[in-house]
Amino acid sequence: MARLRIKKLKYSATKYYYESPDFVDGINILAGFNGAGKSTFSDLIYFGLGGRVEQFIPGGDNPHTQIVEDTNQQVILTISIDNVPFVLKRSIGSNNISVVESEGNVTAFAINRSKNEPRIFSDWLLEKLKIDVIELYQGSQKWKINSSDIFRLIYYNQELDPTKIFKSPDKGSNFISDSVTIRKAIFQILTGKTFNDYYVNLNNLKLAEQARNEAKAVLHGYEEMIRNLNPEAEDVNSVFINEQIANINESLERLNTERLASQEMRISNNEVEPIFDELKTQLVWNEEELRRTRRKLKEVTEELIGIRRVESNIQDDSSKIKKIISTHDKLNLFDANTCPYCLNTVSREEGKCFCGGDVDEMQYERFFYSTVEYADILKSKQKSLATMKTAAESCDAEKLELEEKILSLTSSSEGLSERLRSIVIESNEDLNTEKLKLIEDKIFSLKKELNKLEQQREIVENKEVYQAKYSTAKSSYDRFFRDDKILSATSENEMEEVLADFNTMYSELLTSSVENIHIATINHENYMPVINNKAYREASSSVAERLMYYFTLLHVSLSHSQIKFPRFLLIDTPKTAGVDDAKLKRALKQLASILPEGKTMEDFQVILTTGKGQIPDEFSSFVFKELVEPEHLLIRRANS
Amino acid sequence: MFATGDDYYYITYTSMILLSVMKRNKPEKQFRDIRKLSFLIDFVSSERLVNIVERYQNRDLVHSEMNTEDRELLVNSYANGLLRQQHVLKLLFALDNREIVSIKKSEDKEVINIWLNEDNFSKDFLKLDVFKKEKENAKKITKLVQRISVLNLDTLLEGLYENYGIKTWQDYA
Repeated sequence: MARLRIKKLKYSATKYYYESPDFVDGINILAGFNGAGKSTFSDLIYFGLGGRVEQFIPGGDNPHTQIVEDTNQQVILTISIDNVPFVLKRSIGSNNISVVESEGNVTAFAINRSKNEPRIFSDWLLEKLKIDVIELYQGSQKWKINSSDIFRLIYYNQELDPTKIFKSPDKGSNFISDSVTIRKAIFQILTGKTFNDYYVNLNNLKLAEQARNEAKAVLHGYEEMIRNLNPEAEDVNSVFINEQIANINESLERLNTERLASQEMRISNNEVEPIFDELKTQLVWNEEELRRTRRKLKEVTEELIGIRRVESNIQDDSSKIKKIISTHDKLNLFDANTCPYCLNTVSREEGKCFCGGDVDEMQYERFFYSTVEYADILKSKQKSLATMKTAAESCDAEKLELEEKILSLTSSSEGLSERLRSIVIESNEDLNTEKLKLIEDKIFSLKKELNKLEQQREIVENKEVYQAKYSTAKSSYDRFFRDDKILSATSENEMEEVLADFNTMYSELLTSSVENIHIATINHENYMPVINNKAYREASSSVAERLMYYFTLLHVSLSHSQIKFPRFLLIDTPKTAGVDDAKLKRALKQLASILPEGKTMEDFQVILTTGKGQIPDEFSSFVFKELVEPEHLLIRRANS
Repeated sequence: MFATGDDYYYITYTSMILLSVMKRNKPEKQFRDIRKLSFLIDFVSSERLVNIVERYQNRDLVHSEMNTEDRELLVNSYANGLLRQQHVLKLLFALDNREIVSIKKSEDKEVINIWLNEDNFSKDFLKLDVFKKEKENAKKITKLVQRISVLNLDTLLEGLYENYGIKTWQDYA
């Protein structure tokens, strides 16, 4: 929706200078002979707008010597964007450009992006043109859109191959600048109403996806770690653990009070019994557990013996089969064609017995097998053997565990018995000690439990934090994803309208300017022209195809006020041989037909350079300057 | 289902190994009474069985009882020997057809003798490493039971079973 206008071009150097008149709305034409400096004129404007011009580069391939070998060369471009005036100043060979605002503020910007320059001239210009500086991802590479990318559909310059439609990208701007994706994006950004929003959202979506995936990975990694190191903490939540911890702390407090109290008081007789009972209960439980464990050990041992027996049987079978395979291999006496009755070789049909009767092949008893079948049988025996081995190992492990448990239970039983014995015969003093000991035992085991729970709590709380982070990242991503779908659909709908308009106008312009074109549209996928439904025709119309494409862009920017195309064209018409003057005139004339209803010449600006013989008659009043030999564009100063 | 005990190849290799170890490879050196082979097969393949014979051979069994498992194994080997008889005979006749062995009736109607035709099969076969255990067992049992190749059936059964308290019966028609 922003509108770019060029008001004036000024070039000043030590030896040469040039100053244009004020440009007007509508069409401005610079006419001249070949070599007068028409391309220089357009290039100066492009340079002033931050573009890269190979011929202005000192030490470049094909330098414009008058400019490059001069000194103090400066290009001053007066422009306005949406009626806000700016003056752009840039020196030849410099990679900086100054922007002077109407209040007098001057800001210097770099042309090229580097780590030290977060905001370059292109960012500023695109911001003014209300085009978001979006990042596009292609595979793992990403690039930021540049003003020079946008100008590929605004500046119609001399190109070797007009069928490419787009101006070639500035050298070294984005290394993947000329992919179909980029060109598609440029077209969409300039002609779509909400495509900007779409790409901004897409960018956000990609970032959100990254964030979500990272959060997910962290969460899963943490959960995996819990599973491996502390499986008990896997399924509990922090509320539950905190409750448990609170309970234990309460009990601990109570026990501590009890302990303090016990330390003071002398124990009375009626306290003996509960202590005695407590110890006895523990002992009984211990003995019961011991009995149970011993029984289990016996079971496991028997199981192990059974497994070992089966193992040895399989082992024997395996070794027998190996011998059978060797025998069959060396002697080859019997095979699937051997009759089990007489042991003679006879050929048997499938589904038939040796006697000729019908049989079900699946149920038919086999006496002899092939080498391959023996090998299979052997393999399956070996698999069973492996299974047995695993089972034996796990039994062994269990046996070991049980034996250890028995040892520990036996020793604690002995300890408890000892304590019971001493209670019965000891004094009051010892009873007190015994009571304290019991309390302390309880405190110790509760503290162990508490420790474990506190560790678990930390783990669980961390997990909950990661979970929350993941949830947030995920819902953020989901939002962008949903918006992506909406914007994509909306954009496509709107594009439909613009594309239909484009196709109609493009077709009209081309059929009016080229004799043998009957219909022209652009491809929905890559926005490239499709002429006469791709039927063969001469290549001579490619200049017109390109030119009408630009004109049509201008037209749609006038018909659809919300699209970003800045209602401006800079055209340097081709002067190569093979471009017929009459044809070019006819093509240029079409510019008059692009105005939609309600729009006038005041609503756009075209700056055009062309040869004298190529100007349509209707446009002769738009010529602001005609360069006639020997007058060139650049004027030599009197004193140099 | 694949049952290794009755597989024809199993009977083939154990018999051939036994005959070879006993050097019964010419008509002049025949193995007497092929019915003996059915019982000897398990001894060739089971080290344990041979051990049993070895251990109890010189002991006075009246005063020292044979251990239950050992006794069970020995009884089972006798039963297998009986059950396998027809099978073994059929197999040996088939081997005779292919000239791997030669079978000849003796003057006694019931008795058929056999010898191995070592030229009619690959020399490497019996030299295979995989039969190492079988060859050792065959050597041992040949040593433990005197003149095993020329004994008659009853004497063999006496030596392998009756002497250890296992009753045999005459039912091999």
